Order: sequence, then structure tokens, then C-alpha cells
Amino acid sequence: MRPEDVLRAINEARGDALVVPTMTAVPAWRTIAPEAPSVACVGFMGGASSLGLGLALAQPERRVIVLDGDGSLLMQLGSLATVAGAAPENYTHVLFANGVYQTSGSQGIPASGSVDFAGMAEAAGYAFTTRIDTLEELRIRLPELLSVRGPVLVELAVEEAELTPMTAPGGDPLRVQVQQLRERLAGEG
Amino acid sequence: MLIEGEEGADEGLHLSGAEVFEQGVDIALRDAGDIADELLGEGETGALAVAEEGRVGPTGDGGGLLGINGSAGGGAGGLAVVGLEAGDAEAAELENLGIESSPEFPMEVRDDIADLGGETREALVEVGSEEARLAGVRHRGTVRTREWRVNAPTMAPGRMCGMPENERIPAPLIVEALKAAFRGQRTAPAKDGEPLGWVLSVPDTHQRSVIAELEGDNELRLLTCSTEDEANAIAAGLYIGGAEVALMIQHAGLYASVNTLRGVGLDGGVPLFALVGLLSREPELEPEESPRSMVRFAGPLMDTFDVPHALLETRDDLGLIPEYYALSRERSGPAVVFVGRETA
Repeated sequence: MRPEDVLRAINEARGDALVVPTMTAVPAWRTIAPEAPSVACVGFMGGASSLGLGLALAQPERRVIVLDGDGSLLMQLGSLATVAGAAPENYTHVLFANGVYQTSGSQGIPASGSVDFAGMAEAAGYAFTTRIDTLEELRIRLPELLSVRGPVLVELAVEEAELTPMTAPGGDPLRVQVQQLRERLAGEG
Repeated sequence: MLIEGEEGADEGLHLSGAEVFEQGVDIALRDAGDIADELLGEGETGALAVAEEGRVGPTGDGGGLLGINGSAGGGAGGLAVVGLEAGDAEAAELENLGIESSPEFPMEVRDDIADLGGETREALVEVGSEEARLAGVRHRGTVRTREWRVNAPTMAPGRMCGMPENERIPAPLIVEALKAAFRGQRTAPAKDGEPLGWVLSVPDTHQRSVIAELEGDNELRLLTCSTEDEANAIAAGLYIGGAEVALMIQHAGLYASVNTLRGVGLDGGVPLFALVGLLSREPELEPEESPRSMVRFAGPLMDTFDVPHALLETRDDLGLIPEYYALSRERSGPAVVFVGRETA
């Protein structure tokens, strides 16, 4: 799957969900879904799953979608247990598994190709986990993945992205994103 | 440098081994006027205040503030001891020491020293005019003690973490202080089912009684995190979502999560408030003097990132929790209260 196609599909299905992209998902998401209520995890790699967890706990009536990377998740793998322990029912963890640290030059992640992230999430205690290899299947299952009781983790077998934060820098600084989304949520509350 | 009590001046005051820093002056309490000569300019009046928590002053257990006042060239001087819970005992101590308020050196026993202190825990005894009070000390630096050894029965064996059991802060008081901090920032009461605020914990030995207390609390929600990095990022999400949140971690975790603290707290402008346990802190030393690097560098590490921090050790310090929580909001960044002693 091309990650850009995945993001387009998620944007079409997301409803009013809050979105936390990280690393290679950031520049593409910025273009594909500029109006989506989002805050990017950039500058503290590995933090997307936790940032999304905090949002999900504070906004329990709203779906939260984390657009994570396999290399990123490995940096805070313990967050699988933390998420499972907190058990947010409104949490969907989308894992882009391309097997590499693309932003830094596509070095392979540890045990690339053999790590079973969906299996680890299930073992940690996620309520629902799955692995999807084709865009067609993803399109069909997205409504379920964004509504079933969470926490959900869906591992996606994807190719490398067209852009990375290094090749396509830009977007609002994190400080601005934080305040904008906070104010937006306060206004909607 | 040593501060020594005036021989025979007051049997209730036995100071020894107190190290003076920040100013290279010898201080003998018997000659406060000479001290003023060294520290104050000609004609200036002012006060030197020496603050310490829990281990100083003839009143002992309440902590205290010891001030020396005087005027350069005038030879006038005296000694004031003001407890953090100043009251009749402290007033009597002043009288015992022959220190009386006068138009030239008006002096008062204050009960709000903690509020005056700020993060260095320094405070001033009111002497003379406001202008003199400020100029006399702050332009000259402040003399503080690193260690006071007071002949006080509270130093007897039987204490834990260098503190008598009854001086350790009870966990319910810290929980109440957290609630006060959260309430102070909320713009609306919590809705049904919504917690007053969140406490994100990576377990800390010093604060284990607080963690246990939180587990049974109905208003606050405790979430145990795998790492302090996670706690910082979860706190960001909670903050964005409109919730109140505090972290309870240990100094080792503070070191471990520096990049997230920087990214979330500094670059992201997220008000991260953390209670950080200083495990193995020696009660007789200032943290910066500790032979343990984990204790010694915690404060300087925060200084490096321009993160305000304070030390919480006694009940009198509890106000630091809402104060620094509010400070993190005002600054849109991190603020840390180090927990220097194990809670009860």
C-alpha cells in the first residue's frame, strides 16, 4: 500500500476524529487533510501513541486516530501496555509498517520484517488488533476500525512514503498546533 | 565559612558547622554590625536573611528563618529568628535575644515566610524601608546556609529519611494540594464522570504513599505509565483536550525523559507540572551538595532548560504545589517541584 492512499482513505472515513500523525505521515497528512483537527508528534519521536492516549482520555466522546510508524512505536514500545492499561474505547492506533526509519535514510528497524506489532498489541491487552495488507481491505474495514470498542491497533503493510519531514519540512510549529487544537476543542466543547 | 552562635548569648541557640556561601564573609552572630559593614555600602541599611527548612532555629521543628540586621558603619545589629510558622514562640525568642523593633530597624515576626521565599527559599526579615530591604540584600547577594546544625531534640534518632515521622508530609495533604492546584486552573467544575484532574505516575519511592492515596481517590484519576517519556506526551494530549494533569516521577525518570520534556514542554509550550522525587537526598545537605549525581544535578539540569523548580519537604512547602502548577500554566512550559523527603 502507498501510505498516501491510506491517508486519503482515513481522511474520507474519519468523521470528526482527532488525529495525531507522526514522522512520514506528517507532510502527507498536512496536504491531504489540512482542516482535520490534528496535532503532529514531531521532535519527540515515539510519542504519538502517548499523545493520542492523552487526547482520547480527555475527549472520551470523540475518536482519536494515531498515525504511527513502526520505528516510532519501537522507541516507546511500552506505550502499548500503557494504552492497554488505560483502555480508551475511542482509540484507534494505525501503524504504518514499512520496516525502515525512512526519515533518517531508510535504515532497517530492528528485526525488520519479523516483528508482529499487531500480535504485540494483542498480547499487551488491546481490545482489537488486526493486520491489513491491501488498500481494498482497508477501505472496507475502516468504518469498523474507527467505531469498534478500543483500543484498536491496525498494522498496515506499506511502502515508503513520497515525503518525509526532512524532504518536506513546514507546517505550524508544535506550539501553535497545540494551542490551536486546544482552543478548537474548547470552542466545540 | 562558619556561623557560630554568640557564646552565652542564648542557651537555646547552638549553631555550628553552618557553611556560608554566595558571599565570602565570616559571620559571627555577636557582631552583626560588622557583617553589615562588609555587605552593605556606607549608609545603606538592610537585612541578611538566612532561610532553612525544618532544621534551623531554636524553635526547631517548624523550620525557621534567621536574619541578621544591621547598618553599615552604625554598629547596630541583632539577630532575629522567625519560624515558618512564626508566632509567639518566635516573638519570645526575639525578646530573649534582646532584639526589639525600633523606628530605625522595625522588625516583625511574619508568618508568611514561605510565600516570600520563592524557589531559593530565601526570605527577608523586614528591616527598615522597603527600598532598603530590597537594595540592602539583593544588590549585595544573599547569605544562606547550606547546613544548620541546631541543638534540637528533633535531630534525635528514630527519624526516617532524616526526618521525624511526624515531620514527613502526610500523603492526603499532597493530594489535597494537587486538587487545589487543579481547581485553581479549571474554568468549569468537572462534569459527571469527569475527573477533577489526572496524575500520571511512573512510580517513585519518595511518593509511594501519595500514589497509594491516589489509588483510592474519587476525584483524581491515576494512570501508571511505562516511561516518563510517555507521561510527558500523555500530559500534552490531556492538556490539549482540556484536562488538568500533573506528573509524579523520580529524578532518574527526569533524566531519562529530557528530550520529551524539551520537545513537549519547551517547543510545544505544554505546561508540564511534575512532582519529582529526589530519592537518596541527604537531609543534612542541600541537593546541590549531594555526593550522589542523581540528586546533585537534578536542579542544575532544570536550570539548563530554564525550568523553574522548588524543593518540597515539609508541610510549610505544600503551597508550592498550586504555586508551581499555576506557574507552569502561566509560562506555558514545565515547572518542577522536587520532593526531597519521603512522604508519610
